[in-house]
Amino acid sequence: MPHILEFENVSRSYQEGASQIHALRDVSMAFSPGELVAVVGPSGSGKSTLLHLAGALDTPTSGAVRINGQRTDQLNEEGRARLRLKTIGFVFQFFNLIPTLSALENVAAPALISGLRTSIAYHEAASLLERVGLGARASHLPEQLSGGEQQRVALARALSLGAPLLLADEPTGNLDSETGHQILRLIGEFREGRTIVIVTHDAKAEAVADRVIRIKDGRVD
Amino acid sequence: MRPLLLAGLRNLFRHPGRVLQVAFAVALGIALFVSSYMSISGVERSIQRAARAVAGNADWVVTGSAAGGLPDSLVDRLRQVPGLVAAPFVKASATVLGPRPTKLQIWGIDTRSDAMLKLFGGQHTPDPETAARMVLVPNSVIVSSTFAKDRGLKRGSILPIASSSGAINLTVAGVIDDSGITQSLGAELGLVDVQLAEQMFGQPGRIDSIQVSGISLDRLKTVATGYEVRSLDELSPAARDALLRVQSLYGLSLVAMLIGCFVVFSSVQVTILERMKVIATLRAIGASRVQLLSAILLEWVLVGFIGSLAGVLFGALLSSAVLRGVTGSVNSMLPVVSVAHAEMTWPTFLLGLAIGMGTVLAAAAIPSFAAVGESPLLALRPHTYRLRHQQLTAFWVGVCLVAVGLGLSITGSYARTLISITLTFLGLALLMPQVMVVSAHRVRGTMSKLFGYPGFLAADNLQKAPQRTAFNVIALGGALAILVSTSALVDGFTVSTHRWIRASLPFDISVTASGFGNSTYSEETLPRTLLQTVSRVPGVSFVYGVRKSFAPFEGHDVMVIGLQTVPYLEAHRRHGTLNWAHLIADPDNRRELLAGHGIFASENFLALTGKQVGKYLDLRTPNGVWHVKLLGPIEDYSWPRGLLVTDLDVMNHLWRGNALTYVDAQVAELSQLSTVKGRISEATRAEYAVALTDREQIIGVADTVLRQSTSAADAQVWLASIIGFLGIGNSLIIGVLQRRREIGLLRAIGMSNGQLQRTVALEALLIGIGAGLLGAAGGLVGGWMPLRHFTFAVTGYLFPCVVPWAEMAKVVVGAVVVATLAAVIPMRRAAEVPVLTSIAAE
Ligand SMILES: Nc1ncnc2c1ncn2[C@@H]1O[C@H](COP(=O)(O)OP(=O)(O)O)[C@@H](O)[C@H]1O
Ligand SMILES: [Mg+2]
Repeated sequence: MPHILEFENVSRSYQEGASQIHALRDVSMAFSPGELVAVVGPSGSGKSTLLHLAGALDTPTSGAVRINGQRTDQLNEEGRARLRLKTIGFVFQFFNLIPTLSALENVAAPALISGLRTSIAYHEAASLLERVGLGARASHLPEQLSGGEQQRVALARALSLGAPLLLADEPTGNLDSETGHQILRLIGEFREGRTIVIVTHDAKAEAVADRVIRIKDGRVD
Repeated sequence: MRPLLLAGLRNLFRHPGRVLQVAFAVALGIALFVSSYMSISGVERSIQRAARAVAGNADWVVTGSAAGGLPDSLVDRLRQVPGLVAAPFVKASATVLGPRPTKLQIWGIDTRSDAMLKLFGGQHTPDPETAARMVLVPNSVIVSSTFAKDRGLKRGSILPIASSSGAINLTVAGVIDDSGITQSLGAELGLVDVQLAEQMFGQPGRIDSIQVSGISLDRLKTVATGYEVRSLDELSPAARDALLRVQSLYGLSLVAMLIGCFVVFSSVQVTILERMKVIATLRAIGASRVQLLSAILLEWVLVGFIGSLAGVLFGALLSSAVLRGVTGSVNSMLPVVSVAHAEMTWPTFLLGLAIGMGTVLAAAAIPSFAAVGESPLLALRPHTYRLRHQQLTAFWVGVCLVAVGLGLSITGSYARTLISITLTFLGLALLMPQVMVVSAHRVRGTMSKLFGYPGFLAADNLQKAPQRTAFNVIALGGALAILVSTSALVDGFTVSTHRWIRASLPFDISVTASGFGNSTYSEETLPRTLLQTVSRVPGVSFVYGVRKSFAPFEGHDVMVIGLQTVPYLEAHRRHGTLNWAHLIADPDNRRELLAGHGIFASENFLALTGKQVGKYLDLRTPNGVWHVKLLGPIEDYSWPRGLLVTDLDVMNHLWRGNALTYVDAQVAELSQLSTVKGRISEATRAEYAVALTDREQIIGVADTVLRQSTSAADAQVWLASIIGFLGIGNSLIIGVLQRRREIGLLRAIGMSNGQLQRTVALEALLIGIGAGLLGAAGGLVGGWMPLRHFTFAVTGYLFPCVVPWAEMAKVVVGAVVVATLAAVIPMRRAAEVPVLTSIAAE
């Protein structure tokens, strides 16, 4: 079976004035379909950088990142956007919902961007909201929802086009531990047929993960 | 509040584009105001200068009316007062005959007394020897030096002139230095004795005015009872009427400033939104509201200062262009004024600065107050978007303001029109956001069907930022509304005048002494013998004569026309428009008219004076007060102060003399208009310099005068549209900046740049359509209410409402194009939003 996501000697560095910051150094690894992987490491170790590369939001300074066999650096901006739309779902630490759109409209966004008929997009968004337990809050704006609820909306949105690769960057980092656990459990419920990569400090996540990747100073331990 | 002020200034430096935009919007508004102010006061000063050029050191001027004049005897009566210097004066324009006919302004002055010398005080005064020659040599003239040089005239040369008593040969008695004087008059000059001038211009025993010094105004008023006495620096009623017309430019400047206000308001609001956190933090650590408020306002007053300064300078540059339009408009009502240039004075400069800074302060005050009034806790919360379901209170207050504004405009006085415009704009600003919320919500579905998700997002963005959107719709819509409303008015005027000219003028060719369109106020006349000369021309089937003059009435000059009634009616019968003149044709009316007991009045005269048909009015004529009955109304657009129609013989008796202003001719059926025209000028060439105008040319002249009156406004409307354009660009950029996070996020979840840019463009499209519709509808209402009533109040013309469909369509299309263009930069900015940093932590 081909790897859904593959890092091959990936390095990513940032030029900060005269000095170079090596956020990621020579990382090689692969992720198989159906895997749930936890990425852990101290703050500033390069976890977000790794996830951004994995999600085609960024391209490596050297080496190659392949998603379904496609090198991300060989696509142009629009190609990567299409890849993100169809293949990848993101969940962020700060939820990043669109404040002016309701919960339902937020969830329906990817489907609508992809050009799906409005009625179908809303229908599917509604059922996803139902599955994350927010069926009753569909018309609420983000500011009217609690942090945990907002993160569940964000999860529903990440799943909306049935993306096979779900990337979550500290999804519980901004929540209390009880709510955080609920979110982790919820993410776990969607592991069927998906590769899930969660960046986390939460020991609970390590426990449910198939594999744990430890990063320190941009290197995989 | 040093920290905030510093932060604020740094912030301004970091967003030079926004600062430029505010400064630019203010600058344009101020430029409009300053250019209007400078050109109108420039014309005013020129009129005064021209008066000074005529009267030298005189203090007062005594006049009868524009053309009615004064009796010679008044001069003698005045001179009986010890110490009083009185100089009689006749002014008219004449044509120099010859292969190259040119205009010469003729002044009739008293060469027999030293009055003129005393008043002129050296400036362009003929030397005693020349003055003596003027008395000794009959028909002598002193000409200005440029003219003399141009024509090769020397003392003793003969100058043939067309006058209303036929051609006359003047002998050059001398040449005077014309430095300065011809410039302020805009014409070459010839000085003749006052009695010769009276004779030449068909007004024996009558002079135009008397310049007086050496007496107090009150004293003079008692000596010259029954005549108009005013200070030389005071504008004549005619000048005031002419200036009133161009003052509508101030209304335009006001609209531009209001539009500028909206741009300033939204820019200030964004910078404040961006700094809500800083403001809230400072509040949390104990800064007072007053401190914060003054810090923010200071920052913007600075920007306002820069903008106003630029505006004043730009206005000074622009004034020469505006001046041309204003002069054209004024000259269609006044004897030609030549305006060298508009001058910038310190008061103008300071007034411009004050208005600009005041406007910025007023516009910045509202969002600033709102910001510092906010609880610091609220402002520290992460979400900047707060849901406001409805803005119903504001909506209804807005509706009330608009209603009051439109209500005020019905009476149409100048000040009220300005207040009405301001109230209407404020009302729109209040009610528009709610309209935006509702209409943007309505079109979301359609937009998403037509343009997919970008369409939905565009409409949604507008709905969620109703205020910003509404302001920009108003800004552009307001500018466009001016276009539509002026063109509604102009169309109304054009339709009425064209119909009127075709129906009311029963001739094919009008013969006049000077060009038909030169000036309605022109007093050049033709000798009565011309009637025979023209009627004998082959191809001319019918002629009649008309005399035109002016009479003072209730502080204004009204036009008086004397018709050869019987031939005039016959001309209508032949022309097939007797129907139009049926009131004059009515046997009872005609009897009264011919007997001098009755008079017809134009509709605008009746509207302006409130007089009614059947009632009597007292009209001052050179032959005393005329108590005359108003026989009926006639439709007429000749003179903004109204027209009175009487019989020619009656008029010649009351106004004295028997010269004609127009000789109107009908062309025989099979004759070619142009051929007959050629024959008429051939037949008259030897003795008169005449201008020939046919009906279609008169229509052209009317249109030209109209265009001149509105041309000054045109430049201003374009500038106002530029401000509106800026506003939209501003709004869209603000929209992009405010939504950086969301844009980054949409990109992160897979939206393409194309989709993103389409969203911005569609937003612009919606704003453009909104502005276009508002401009078209607002312009229609504006043309119908304030403008039409204002015009009515000033001129008494109440035009039919004509819907300017073409202009409205142009405005809608133009708005859409403008908005789409305004979206170009914001689209680029949206595509440049960095995905990674904008989705990172707060
Ligand atoms: N855009 C950037 N420019 C410069 N340095 C960056 C940038 N993004 C991340 N870094 C640096 O790269 C390193 C890794 O960052 P990150 O991947 O965000 O760490 P983590 O998510 O593990 O806390 C850090 O030292 C950070 O400062
Ligand atoms: Mg991180």
